[in-house]
Amino acid sequence: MELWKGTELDTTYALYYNGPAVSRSNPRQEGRERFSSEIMIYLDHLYRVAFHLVRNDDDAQDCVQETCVRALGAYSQFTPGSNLKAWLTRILYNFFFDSYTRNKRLVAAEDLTEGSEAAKNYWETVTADNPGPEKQFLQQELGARIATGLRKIPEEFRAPIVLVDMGDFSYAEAAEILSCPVGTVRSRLSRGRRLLQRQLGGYVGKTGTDR
Amino acid sequence: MRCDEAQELITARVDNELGVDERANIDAHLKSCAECTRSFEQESLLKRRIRLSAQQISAPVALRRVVEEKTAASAAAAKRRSFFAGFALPRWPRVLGAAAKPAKRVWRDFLLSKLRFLKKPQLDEVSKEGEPPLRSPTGFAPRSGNQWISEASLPAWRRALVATIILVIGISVFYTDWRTQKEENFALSAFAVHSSILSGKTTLLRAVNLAAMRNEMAHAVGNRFRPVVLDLSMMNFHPIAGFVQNIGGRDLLVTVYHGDGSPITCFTFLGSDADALAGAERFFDAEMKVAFYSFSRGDVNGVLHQEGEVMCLLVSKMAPAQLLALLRGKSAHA
Repeated sequence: MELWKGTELDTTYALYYNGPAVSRSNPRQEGRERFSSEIMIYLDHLYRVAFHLVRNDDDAQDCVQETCVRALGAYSQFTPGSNLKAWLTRILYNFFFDSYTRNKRLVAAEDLTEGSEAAKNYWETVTADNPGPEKQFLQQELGARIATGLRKIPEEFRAPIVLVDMGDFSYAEAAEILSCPVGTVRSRLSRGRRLLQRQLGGYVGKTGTDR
Repeated sequence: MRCDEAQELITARVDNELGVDERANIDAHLKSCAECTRSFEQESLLKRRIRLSAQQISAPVALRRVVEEKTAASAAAAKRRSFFAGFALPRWPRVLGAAAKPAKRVWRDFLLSKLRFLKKPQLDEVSKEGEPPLRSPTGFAPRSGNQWISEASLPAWRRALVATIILVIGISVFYTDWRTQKEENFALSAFAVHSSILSGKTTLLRAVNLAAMRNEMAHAVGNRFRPVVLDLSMMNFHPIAGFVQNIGGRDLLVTVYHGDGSPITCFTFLGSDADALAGAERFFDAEMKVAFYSFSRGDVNGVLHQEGEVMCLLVSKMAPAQLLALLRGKSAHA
């Protein structure tokens, strides 16, 4: 089909103008859109934190869904430019604390045996990047061992590890999320790492996957 | 410093969370204590291992999809709310303020009427025998005994209220429908422009100087925005011509690309995601932090996204996935 005729730009096409265009953009709506998009960026982080807090895939997904719903509902309370990751994590932790810790719903049903359903679910959540068969195997084994070790640690020591080591939060941010003093985060983290070290035995340092 | 006192400081040292003094103290202790140095190294290694293990976990696709749906539903609900918020004109508070006074009186009379049933009638409250019972202007004054006022004697204000509510609902429904229709027309009009170009109804003259063409286009809209430039040279698509099109009172800068495959028309305009056709599929690119809306009518497909301050709509007979791939890889704002 011959669409293009002539050799020069006919600028008359570009020169008719019927007055100012009306912008239909709504700043509040745009802000909300941006907020929703940014939530998606932290979805992996939220899922990781939830997975290690509740210790199974289904509850972790419920936790993350509820967090997102609550965050969207409380959108007006979020100050643009502040730390969205910490804000979302705090919502998640509060939901976890209210639903799981306070009611002891999950603690009663806890199964610490290796090879359990939850451990199987762990493998389903592992990403499918391809660092090479041997390294991948070692990394996955390490991940599974750490996940299993964390499952055996009480929540009060597990949460600081999840937030500081996995979530890259500072002590101050973790203290804000956990609603406790910074000193408490430090002492629980110290104790938690030692507990985890004990669970892992001499495994850490043997995989050769350290960077 | 004793080794058991050093444990917490070692943890904080691993996390780089110590002040200058504490750091100097623990560093001095680590130099003199082999046990604590081993503990420090082990903890550092453990921290790296934990972080590495965390990176292997990502949110399941199903969860991502559910959350995307929820955020989309929430955005739609917020949009509906913002529509109703449009009725909150500055004069409303005054209207409500004026209405509050009689409403308060109605409520007071209503409560009084209820209370009168409960308590024993006082001498001064009982109307004289043979006289009709006293009735307050609001209509809530009780008759003798436990009788309520019959439906037939509904006060005028109630009928007026019902009529007003029905009228407001009717206007809302009509306005929403009209607005939706208008939005539909906007995207469809863009499709019509594209079809018009394809069919030759709109005759295009090849632009010699593309930079000059873009300047002319920007100039035509008072330099409020410039046409989005897409580098599609990898697909052998190049801008051929451009013009300004007015749709529904809004100016759109139209750039036509020609290459191997169905021509692409790129519309640049001031707008929002709401300009997508109803039922558009939403794709979110986490890396670019951009949401893309894909929609079709017949064999024509459109992909809408925000590019800086402006909206960019690509229309073509090219497959939506191909249009999306083009946009995600090649866009750069002029």
